Amino acid sequence: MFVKKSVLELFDALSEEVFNYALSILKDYDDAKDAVQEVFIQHMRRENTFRGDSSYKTWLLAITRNYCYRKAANKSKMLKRVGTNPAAAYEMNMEASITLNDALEELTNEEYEIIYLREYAGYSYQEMAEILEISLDNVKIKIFRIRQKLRNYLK
Amino acid sequence: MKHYEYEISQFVDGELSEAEQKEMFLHLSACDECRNTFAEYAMLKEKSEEHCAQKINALKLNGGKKNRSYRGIVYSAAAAAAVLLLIANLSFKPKTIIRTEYKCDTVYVSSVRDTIITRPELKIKQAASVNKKKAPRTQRKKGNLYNLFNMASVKVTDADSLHVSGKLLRQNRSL
Repeated sequence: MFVKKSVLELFDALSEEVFNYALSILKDYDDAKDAVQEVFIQHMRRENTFRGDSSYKTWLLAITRNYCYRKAANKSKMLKRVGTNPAAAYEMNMEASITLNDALEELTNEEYEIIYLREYAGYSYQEMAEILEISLDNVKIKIFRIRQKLRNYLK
Repeated sequence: MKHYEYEISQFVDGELSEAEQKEMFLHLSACDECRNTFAEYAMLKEKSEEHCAQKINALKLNGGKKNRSYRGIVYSAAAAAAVLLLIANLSFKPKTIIRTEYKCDTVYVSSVRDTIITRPELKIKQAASVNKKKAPRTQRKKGNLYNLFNMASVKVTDADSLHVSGKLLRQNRSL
Protein backbone atom coordinates (compact mmCIF):
# COMPACT_ATOMS: atom_id res chain seq x y z
CA MET A 1 0.00 0.00 0.00
CA PHE A 2 1.59 3.24 -1.01
CA VAL A 3 0.99 6.57 0.63
CA LYS A 4 0.03 9.34 -1.72
CA LYS A 5 2.21 12.40 -1.39
CA SER A 6 1.39 15.97 -2.32
CA VAL A 7 3.36 17.77 -4.98
CA LEU A 8 4.75 20.20 -2.41
CA GLU A 9 6.08 17.38 -0.25
CA LEU A 10 7.66 15.77 -3.26
CA PHE A 11 9.16 19.04 -4.40
CA ASP A 12 10.77 19.66 -1.03
CA ALA A 13 12.18 16.17 -0.87
CA LEU A 14 13.22 15.51 -4.44
CA SER A 15 13.68 18.74 -6.40
CA GLU A 16 17.41 18.75 -5.62
CA GLU A 17 17.86 15.23 -6.96
CA VAL A 18 15.82 15.95 -10.05
CA PHE A 19 17.90 19.07 -10.62
CA ASN A 20 21.21 17.25 -10.26
CA TYR A 21 20.10 14.50 -12.59
CA ALA A 22 18.88 16.98 -15.20
CA LEU A 23 22.14 18.87 -14.85
CA SER A 24 24.13 15.71 -15.44
CA ILE A 25 22.29 15.07 -18.70
CA LEU A 26 21.73 18.58 -20.03
CA LYS A 27 24.96 20.07 -18.68
CA ASP A 28 23.39 23.50 -18.48
CA TYR A 29 22.33 25.21 -15.29
CA ASP A 30 19.33 27.11 -16.63
CA ASP A 31 18.07 24.18 -18.70
CA ALA A 32 18.26 22.01 -15.61
CA LYS A 33 16.24 24.56 -13.62
CA ASP A 34 13.61 24.53 -16.35
CA ALA A 35 13.64 20.76 -16.32
CA VAL A 36 12.77 20.65 -12.61
CA GLN A 37 9.74 22.83 -13.19
CA GLU A 38 8.68 20.85 -16.24
CA VAL A 39 9.09 17.52 -14.47
CA PHE A 40 6.82 18.52 -11.62
CA ILE A 41 4.24 19.88 -14.03
CA GLN A 42 4.28 16.61 -15.94
CA HIS A 43 4.02 14.75 -12.66
CA MET A 44 0.88 16.69 -11.76
CA ARG A 45 -0.62 15.95 -15.15
CA ARG A 46 0.15 12.26 -15.02
CA GLU A 47 -0.34 11.72 -11.30
CA ASN A 48 -3.42 9.57 -11.93
CA THR A 49 -1.40 7.02 -13.84
CA PHE A 50 1.03 6.53 -10.95
CA ARG A 51 -0.06 3.48 -9.00
CA GLY A 52 2.87 3.15 -6.62
CA ASP A 53 4.54 0.19 -8.31
CA SER A 54 7.80 2.08 -8.03
CA SER A 55 8.83 4.77 -5.57
CA TYR A 56 8.07 8.43 -6.22
CA LYS A 57 11.79 9.04 -6.57
CA THR A 58 12.33 6.66 -9.47
CA TRP A 59 9.05 7.76 -11.05
CA LEU A 60 10.10 11.40 -11.01
CA LEU A 61 13.60 10.62 -12.21
CA ALA A 62 12.21 8.55 -15.08
CA ILE A 63 10.12 11.57 -16.09
CA THR A 64 13.23 13.72 -15.76
CA ARG A 65 15.18 11.38 -17.98
CA ASN A 66 12.54 11.32 -20.70
CA TYR A 67 12.13 15.06 -20.59
CA CYS A 68 15.85 15.77 -20.66
CA TYR A 69 16.54 13.46 -23.57
CA ARG A 70 13.69 14.93 -25.56
CA LYS A 71 14.90 18.43 -24.81
CA ALA A 72 18.47 17.55 -25.64
CA ALA A 73 17.40 16.00 -28.92
CA ASN A 74 15.30 19.04 -29.78
CA LYS A 75 18.05 21.46 -29.09
CA SER A 76 20.68 19.01 -30.34
CA LYS A 77 22.69 20.25 -27.43
CA MET A 78 24.02 16.86 -26.44
CA LEU A 79 27.75 16.76 -26.19
CA LYS A 80 29.04 14.81 -29.10
CA ARG A 81 30.79 11.60 -28.37
CA VAL A 82 34.49 12.11 -28.71
CA GLY A 83 36.73 9.47 -30.18
CA THR A 84 34.07 7.34 -31.82
CA ASN A 85 36.20 6.57 -34.81
CA PRO A 86 38.58 3.66 -34.35
CA ALA A 87 41.61 5.72 -35.31
CA ALA A 88 41.09 8.10 -32.42
CA ALA A 89 40.53 5.23 -30.04
CA TYR A 90 43.74 3.65 -31.23
CA GLU A 91 45.62 6.88 -30.62
CA MET A 92 44.16 7.05 -27.17
CA ASN A 93 45.41 3.60 -26.37
CA MET A 94 48.82 4.61 -27.59
CA GLU A 95 49.08 7.40 -25.11
CA ALA A 96 50.68 6.09 -22.01
CA SER A 97 49.90 9.03 -19.80
CA ILE A 98 46.14 9.05 -20.14
CA THR A 99 44.48 9.85 -16.85
CA LEU A 100 41.24 8.47 -15.56
CA ASN A 101 39.57 11.85 -15.86
CA ASP A 102 40.25 11.84 -19.59
CA ALA A 103 38.79 8.36 -19.78
CA LEU A 104 35.67 9.55 -18.00
CA GLU A 105 35.38 12.45 -20.43
CA GLU A 106 35.43 9.91 -23.23
CA LEU A 107 32.28 8.20 -22.03
CA THR A 108 29.11 8.53 -24.07
CA ASN A 109 26.17 10.36 -22.58
CA GLU A 110 24.41 7.17 -21.73
CA GLU A 111 27.47 5.72 -20.04
CA TYR A 112 28.10 8.94 -18.17
CA GLU A 113 24.51 8.96 -17.00
CA ILE A 114 24.82 5.47 -15.58
CA ILE A 115 28.03 6.37 -13.80
CA TYR A 116 26.35 9.48 -12.45
CA LEU A 117 23.34 7.56 -11.14
CA ARG A 118 25.46 4.91 -9.50
CA GLU A 119 28.48 6.79 -8.17
CA TYR A 120 27.28 10.33 -7.58
CA ALA A 121 23.59 9.92 -6.79
CA GLY A 122 24.19 6.54 -5.17
CA TYR A 123 21.12 4.69 -6.44
CA SER A 124 20.79 0.95 -6.05
CA TYR A 125 20.71 -1.28 -9.11
CA GLN A 126 16.97 -1.78 -8.64
CA GLU A 127 16.29 1.96 -8.59
CA MET A 128 18.46 2.47 -11.63
CA ALA A 129 16.56 -0.22 -13.50
CA GLU A 130 13.32 1.65 -12.76
CA ILE A 131 14.70 5.02 -13.79
CA LEU A 132 16.34 3.77 -16.97
CA GLU A 133 13.41 1.47 -17.68
CA ILE A 134 15.62 -1.55 -18.30
CA SER A 135 16.00 -4.86 -16.50
CA LEU A 136 18.10 -5.36 -13.39
CA ASP A 137 20.52 -7.68 -15.19
CA ASN A 138 20.90 -5.12 -17.91
CA VAL A 139 21.96 -2.56 -15.30
CA LYS A 140 24.54 -4.93 -13.87
CA ILE A 141 25.99 -5.64 -17.28
CA LYS A 142 26.07 -1.99 -18.31
CA ILE A 143 27.89 -0.94 -15.17
CA PHE A 144 30.31 -3.79 -15.59
CA ARG A 145 31.03 -2.89 -19.22
CA ILE A 146 31.66 0.74 -18.39
CA ARG A 147 34.08 -0.27 -15.66
CA GLN A 148 35.82 -2.62 -18.02
CA LYS A 149 36.12 0.17 -20.53
CA LEU A 150 37.55 2.59 -17.99
CA ARG A 151 39.92 -0.05 -16.76
CA ASN A 152 41.14 -0.71 -20.26
CA TYR A 153 41.95 2.97 -20.64
CA LEU A 154 44.21 2.70 -17.64
CA LYS A 155 46.11 -0.32 -18.88
CA MET B 1 40.96 -20.89 -11.55
CA LYS B 2 37.81 -19.09 -12.53
CA HIS B 3 37.89 -15.29 -12.19
CA TYR B 4 34.96 -13.26 -11.01
CA GLU B 5 35.33 -9.90 -12.74
CA TYR B 6 31.60 -9.43 -13.32
CA GLU B 7 30.71 -10.25 -9.73
CA ILE B 8 33.46 -8.02 -8.39
CA SER B 9 31.80 -5.07 -10.08
CA GLN B 10 28.66 -5.80 -8.09
CA PHE B 11 30.65 -6.57 -4.97
CA VAL B 12 32.20 -3.09 -5.08
CA ASP B 13 28.69 -1.64 -5.23
CA GLY B 14 27.53 -3.81 -2.34
CA GLU B 15 24.88 -5.43 -4.52
CA LEU B 16 25.73 -9.07 -3.83
CA SER B 17 23.66 -11.22 -1.52
CA GLU B 18 25.21 -12.31 1.77
CA ALA B 19 25.99 -15.81 0.54
CA GLU B 20 27.60 -14.43 -2.59
CA GLN B 21 29.61 -11.99 -0.51
CA LYS B 22 30.99 -14.82 1.61
CA GLU B 23 31.96 -16.69 -1.50
CA MET B 24 33.63 -13.58 -2.85
CA PHE B 25 35.66 -13.06 0.30
CA LEU B 26 36.82 -16.64 0.14
CA HIS B 27 37.81 -16.29 -3.47
CA LEU B 28 39.59 -12.96 -2.97
CA SER B 29 41.68 -14.42 -0.18
CA ALA B 30 42.95 -17.04 -2.59
CA CYS B 31 43.23 -15.17 -5.91
CA ASP B 32 45.78 -12.41 -6.49
CA GLU B 33 44.40 -11.40 -9.86
CA CYS B 34 40.88 -10.86 -8.53
CA ARG B 35 42.29 -8.87 -5.61
CA ASN B 36 43.96 -6.62 -8.16
CA THR B 37 40.72 -6.30 -10.09
CA PHE B 38 38.87 -5.48 -6.90
CA ALA B 39 41.40 -2.77 -5.98
CA GLU B 40 41.11 -1.26 -9.45
CA TYR B 41 37.33 -1.26 -9.43
CA ALA B 42 37.26 0.32 -6.01
CA MET B 43 39.63 3.00 -7.24
CA LEU B 44 37.55 3.52 -10.39
CA LYS B 45 34.42 3.90 -8.30
CA GLU B 46 36.00 6.53 -6.09
CA LYS B 47 37.51 8.46 -8.99
CA SER B 48 34.28 8.42 -11.01
CA GLU B 49 32.39 9.80 -8.05
CA GLU B 50 34.96 12.56 -7.66
CA HIS B 51 34.78 13.33 -11.35
CA CYS B 52 30.98 13.51 -11.36
CA ALA B 53 30.97 15.72 -8.27
CA GLN B 54 33.49 18.10 -9.82
CA LYS B 55 31.55 18.29 -13.05
CA ILE B 56 28.21 18.92 -11.35
CA ASN B 57 29.71 21.50 -9.00
CA ALA B 58 31.39 23.31 -11.88
CA LEU B 59 28.08 23.46 -13.76
CA LYS B 60 26.28 24.70 -10.67
CA LEU B 61 28.93 27.29 -9.95
CA ASN B 62 28.82 28.70 -13.47
CA GLY B 63 25.04 28.81 -13.44
CA GLY B 64 25.06 30.29 -9.96
CA LYS B 65 27.49 32.99 -11.00
CA LYS B 66 25.28 33.97 -13.89
CA ASN B 67 22.36 34.26 -11.56
CA ARG B 68 24.38 36.12 -9.00
CA SER B 69 25.21 38.83 -11.52
CA TYR B 70 21.49 39.24 -12.24
CA ARG B 71 20.88 39.47 -8.55
CA GLY B 72 23.59 42.12 -8.30
CA ILE B 73 21.84 44.23 -10.88
CA VAL B 74 18.54 43.89 -9.05
CA TYR B 75 20.16 44.82 -5.74
CA SER B 76 21.92 47.87 -7.14
CA ALA B 77 18.72 48.98 -8.86
CA ALA B 78 16.87 48.61 -5.56
CA ALA B 79 19.59 50.58 -3.78
CA ALA B 80 19.43 53.36 -6.36
CA ALA B 81 15.65 53.49 -6.03
CA ALA B 82 15.98 53.68 -2.25
CA VAL B 83 18.44 56.59 -2.51
CA LEU B 84 16.14 58.40 -4.95
CA LEU B 85 13.22 57.92 -2.61
CA LEU B 86 15.27 59.22 0.30
CA ILE B 87 16.28 62.35 -1.63
CA ALA B 88 12.69 62.91 -2.74
CA ASN B 89 11.56 62.51 0.84
CA LEU B 90 14.11 65.00 2.17
CA SER B 91 13.32 67.63 -0.43
CA PHE B 92 9.59 67.23 0.10
CA LYS B 93 8.05 69.99 2.19
CA PRO B 94 4.89 69.21 4.07
CA LYS B 95 2.05 71.53 3.05
CA THR B 96 1.44 73.29 6.30
CA ILE B 97 0.88 77.00 6.46
CA ILE B 98 0.60 78.80 9.72
CA ARG B 99 -2.34 80.86 8.64
CA THR B 100 -4.61 77.87 8.15
CA GLU B 101 -3.79 75.98 11.27
CA TYR B 102 -7.36 75.55 12.38
CA LYS B 103 -8.13 73.75 9.14
CA CYS B 104 -5.36 71.21 9.66
CA ASP B 105 -5.43 67.99 11.62
CA THR B 106 -5.45 67.81 15.37
CA VAL B 107 -1.74 67.19 15.86
CA TYR B 108 -0.84 70.32 14.01
CA VAL B 109 -3.30 72.38 15.96
CA SER B 110 -1.84 71.14 19.18
CA SER B 111 1.63 72.34 18.16
CA VAL B 112 0.28 75.81 17.71
CA ARG B 113 -1.32 75.67 21.07
CA ASP B 114 2.01 74.82 22.58
CA THR B 115 3.78 77.78 21.05
CA ILE B 116 1.10 80.10 22.16
CA ILE B 117 1.09 78.92 25.71
CA THR B 118 4.79 78.35 26.41
CA ARG B 119 6.47 80.93 24.21
CA PRO B 120 4.63 84.22 24.19
CA GLU B 121 7.23 85.95 21.98
CA LEU B 122 6.37 83.52 19.19
CA LYS B 123 2.74 84.23 19.61
CA ILE B 124 3.39 87.79 18.58
CA LYS B 125 5.35 86.73 15.52
CA GLN B 126 2.69 84.36 14.46
CA ALA B 127 0.01 86.86 14.97
CA ALA B 128 1.94 89.24 12.76
CA SER B 129 2.22 86.63 10.01
CA VAL B 130 -1.46 85.88 10.22
CA ASN B 131 -2.20 89.48 9.49
CA LYS B 132 -0.15 89.41 6.31
CA LYS B 133 -1.74 87.90 3.25
CA LYS B 134 1.33 85.90 2.42
CA ALA B 135 4.28 85.24 4.68
CA PRO B 136 7.80 85.74 3.26
CA ARG B 137 9.46 82.61 1.97
CA THR B 138 12.18 82.36 4.63
CA GLN B 139 9.74 82.72 7.44
CA ARG B 140 7.52 80.01 6.05
CA LYS B 141 10.42 77.64 5.89
CA LYS B 142 11.35 78.25 9.46
CA GLY B 143 7.76 77.78 10.46
CA ASN B 144 7.65 74.43 8.81
CA LEU B 145 10.62 73.07 10.63
CA TYR B 146 9.60 74.56 13.90
CA ASN B 147 6.20 72.97 13.72
CA LEU B 148 7.74 69.65 12.85
CA PHE B 149 9.89 69.72 15.96
CA ASN B 150 6.96 70.70 18.10
CA MET B 151 4.82 67.95 16.68
CA ALA B 152 7.28 65.43 17.91
CA SER B 153 7.23 66.68 21.43
CA VAL B 154 3.53 67.25 22.02
CA LYS B 155 1.04 64.65 22.97
CA VAL B 156 -2.62 65.44 22.38
CA THR B 157 -5.85 63.71 23.07
CA ASP B 158 -8.92 64.17 20.95
CA ALA B 159 -10.64 66.05 23.66
CA ASP B 160 -7.69 68.43 23.93
CA SER B 161 -7.56 69.16 20.28
CA LEU B 162 -11.29 69.79 20.02
CA HIS B 163 -11.07 72.16 22.91
CA VAL B 164 -8.04 73.93 21.47
CA SER B 165 -9.33 74.17 17.96
CA GLY B 166 -12.51 75.74 19.22
CA LYS B 167 -10.53 78.14 21.32
CA LEU B 168 -8.22 78.96 18.42
CA LEU B 169 -11.13 79.62 16.14
CA ARG B 170 -12.46 82.08 18.59
CA GLN B 171 -9.00 83.67 19.05
CA ASN B 172 -8.48 84.04 15.35
CA ARG B 173 -11.84 85.56 14.84
CA SER B 174 -11.11 88.10 17.53
CA LEU B 175 -7.72 88.85 15.89
